[in-house]
Amino acid sequence: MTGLRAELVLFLQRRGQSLEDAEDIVQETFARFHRAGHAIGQADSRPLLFAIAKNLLKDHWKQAGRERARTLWLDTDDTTAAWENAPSEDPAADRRSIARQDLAGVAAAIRELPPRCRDAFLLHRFEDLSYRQIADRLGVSVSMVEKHLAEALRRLKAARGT
Amino acid sequence: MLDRLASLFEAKPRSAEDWVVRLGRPDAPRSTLAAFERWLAADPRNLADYQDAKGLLRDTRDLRAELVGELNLIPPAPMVARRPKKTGWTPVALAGGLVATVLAVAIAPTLVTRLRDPLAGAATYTTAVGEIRDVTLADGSVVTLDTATTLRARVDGKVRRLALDKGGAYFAVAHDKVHPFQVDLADRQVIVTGTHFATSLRDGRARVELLEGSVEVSQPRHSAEPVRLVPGDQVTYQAGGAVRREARIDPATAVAWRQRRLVFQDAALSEVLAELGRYTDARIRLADPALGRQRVTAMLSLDGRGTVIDRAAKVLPVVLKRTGPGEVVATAR
Repeated sequence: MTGLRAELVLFLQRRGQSLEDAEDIVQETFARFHRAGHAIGQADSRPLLFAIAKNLLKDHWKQAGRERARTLWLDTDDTTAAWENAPSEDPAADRRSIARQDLAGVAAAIRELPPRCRDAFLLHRFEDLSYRQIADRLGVSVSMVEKHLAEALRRLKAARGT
Repeated sequence: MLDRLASLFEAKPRSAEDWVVRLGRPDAPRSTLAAFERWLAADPRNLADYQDAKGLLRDTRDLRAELVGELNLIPPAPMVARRPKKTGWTPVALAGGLVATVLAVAIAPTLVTRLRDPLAGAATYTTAVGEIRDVTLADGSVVTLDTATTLRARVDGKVRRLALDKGGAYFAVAHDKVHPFQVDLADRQVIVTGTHFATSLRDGRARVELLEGSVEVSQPRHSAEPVRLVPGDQVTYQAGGAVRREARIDPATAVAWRQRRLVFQDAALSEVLAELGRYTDARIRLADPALGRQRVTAMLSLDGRGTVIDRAAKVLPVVLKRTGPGEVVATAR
């Protein structure tokens, strides 16, 4: 984990950030990462951390650009305040949690999945089976299992959206 | 091996959902992670979509109890799930070597288990489908074997050793602090001194329900603390997996099968039929899957006149009709 932290700091420094700024951004990167419910040590943790850091870096650049613009214009007018305080987007913040919504509704949506799709989803989510084990259980290929699972997620998302 | 090879040719994930599923594999290769990074960088919305899909998946975690009926209805693995291994080439010079290797592999585990198996020479008790039987062991403990069960027991040593190979069993253990009573269940042990508890091993899922006294479920890794149960506790696990605490049991209705009856309180019909299916060779199928959601409160006697299907038809809110040899279809009444 400290390795990843150092890598991210270096990545940001190479893109023109001071050590101090880079460390701040990395700090915020990890905060967002955990707030979104991710955990270190999963296959996706490294790519996600870098993606979050890149987003923050973009924000940082925008911010810096505005700072410079403001000093140039010598503009202390309040009208710029709203513009400046535009919230930087945090994907975690607007993630709707179904835990807070009607769980029974989600259960119903799972029941309504096409049978094979539902079976694959149930075995994956509640029996801790690997894709290979699910494939053997259902008598299909691993790639078919993945198609079923992705389809299940798409349908559950659609059901939640309504 | 084949999976790894096949992965070279499969379609690239395109949507956030595809990626969540793909990265759920145990070992994502470097190339997959690089492709994922490129996908994330391609559009700022992709990160948000990915987190959203992953969160959706995570949020379903508390729904297991709700969906256990549907889980039970998933048909068991087809008998010929994998193609028989065929090499396609049989060089004559290698044939002898191959045969020798195969034989060594086949024999070695038996030898090892013979030498180490504390259950060597154990008595084996079995029940047929639909049969429930009481067995009194040499130490005075009484074991009730549920339908389609195999239990091995050797209770004359320092440790009373048993192994539930499949099915279900209820134990009324004769109290004896000096000789611990230990049941091998999947990849770990249930250890007690004197108590009433039930274990089952079905479709790879091991279950321990405690009615009286206390039991411990060992962990496959020796470093991990055993899981201790108090009366009313129920845990399940799969070989290699973590022990999961399930809803508390109702001592009045739990292991009712021991009294030759099944008790259901507000259970999904699908769950009821799955349970019933363990006591008959017939396969019970729902004419309409939606029917499986109906809630049922019923008591069903497992012995008496006629078949268990006949008796179930009298108390369940469905019509059970024999449609062919070994097949019964449930339709709405």
